[in-house]
Amino acid sequence: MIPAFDSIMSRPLVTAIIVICGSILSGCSESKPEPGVYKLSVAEAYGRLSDNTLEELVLFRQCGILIHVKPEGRQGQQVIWRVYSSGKKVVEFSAALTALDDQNTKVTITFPTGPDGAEPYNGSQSYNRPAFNQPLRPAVEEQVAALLEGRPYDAKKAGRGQDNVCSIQRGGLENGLVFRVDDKLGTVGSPRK
Amino acid sequence: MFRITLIIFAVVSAIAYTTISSSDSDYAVDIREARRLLMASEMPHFVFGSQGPTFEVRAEGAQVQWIAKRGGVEFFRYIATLTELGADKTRVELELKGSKSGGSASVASKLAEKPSIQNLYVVAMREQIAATLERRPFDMTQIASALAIASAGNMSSMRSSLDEAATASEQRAKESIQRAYREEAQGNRR
Repeated sequence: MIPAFDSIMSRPLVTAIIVICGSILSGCSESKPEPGVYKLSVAEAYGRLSDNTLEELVLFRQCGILIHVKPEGRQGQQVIWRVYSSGKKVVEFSAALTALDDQNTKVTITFPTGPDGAEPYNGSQSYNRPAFNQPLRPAVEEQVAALLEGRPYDAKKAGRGQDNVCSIQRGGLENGLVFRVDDKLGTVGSPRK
Repeated sequence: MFRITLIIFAVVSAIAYTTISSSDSDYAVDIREARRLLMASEMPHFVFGSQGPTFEVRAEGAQVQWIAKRGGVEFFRYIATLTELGADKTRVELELKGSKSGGSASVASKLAEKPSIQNLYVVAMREQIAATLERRPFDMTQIASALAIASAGNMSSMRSSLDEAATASEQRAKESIQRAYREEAQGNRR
């Protein structure tokens, strides 16, 4: 014997379905932003990025060497971040800002490629003293998104690091060991002064 | 038949247990040259970091020993036993022995609790010995699988230190990193 429809569709259940359907419909009526596009003017986006040292990216993604991010803004349209350790540049990347209109800006992240055409820290590179866990691009994209959307960095959105050497050295740093980018192969380096 | 199976299983297990902390390889080098090279060898750098334990090197008979110390106290030692197999051929057997002082808190106990870490230490030193005697750079690919296993075994604690802000271990990790940056700023400008 099949229960009557209205006895199955209780009031709370109907309400829940209406809310869900409503949210779906409202979602359909608003186009979702294209990845890399933010609801900010170019000037606002530039202001948020041009002097930012990406502290959350460093906190969540650095390995065992100590790194320092130096931002450089260019003419309101590009921000370059150069990363140094022990005075040596270890990696750089940039964000190009393109105004789609007065309130929307597209941000394109670029890494200079090596002689083999590969991006640094792309997940398949090997470093004696890595600066960041790989792959780095999604983590940079998440840091930029967090800054432009005015929210905290979400490590889950950046994805898990895959570099075991980085993880081991990060573990060392978290337990008081110090690594340097200029450590020679086969040496333990010098004691911290 | 069952008894024979048990005996075979026990023998295999015993062999497997000992191989966690020892290994041996043959090298095309005179035993005297091998000893000289190993006495001057460095340690597998990335495992111990820039501020790892200090190492004291000793030669005792057919053995070369690297003794890891911190604050003058021995943590563990690598023991390489050299055997002359012929002209320009030497076998090197490597062991890792943790200090037993401190009872259940001893380094030996801690290493026994973390076989993946113990294996990584052995594999890394074995590659260092090979690189030294074969006169070539340290090859990270030789330790990749041991590194991956050791990382996986310790990955959950590293992840939790990143993802779970409220835990004490994460707080200590953050403080350690922050202290490293402060000391860098106060000391040599890097």
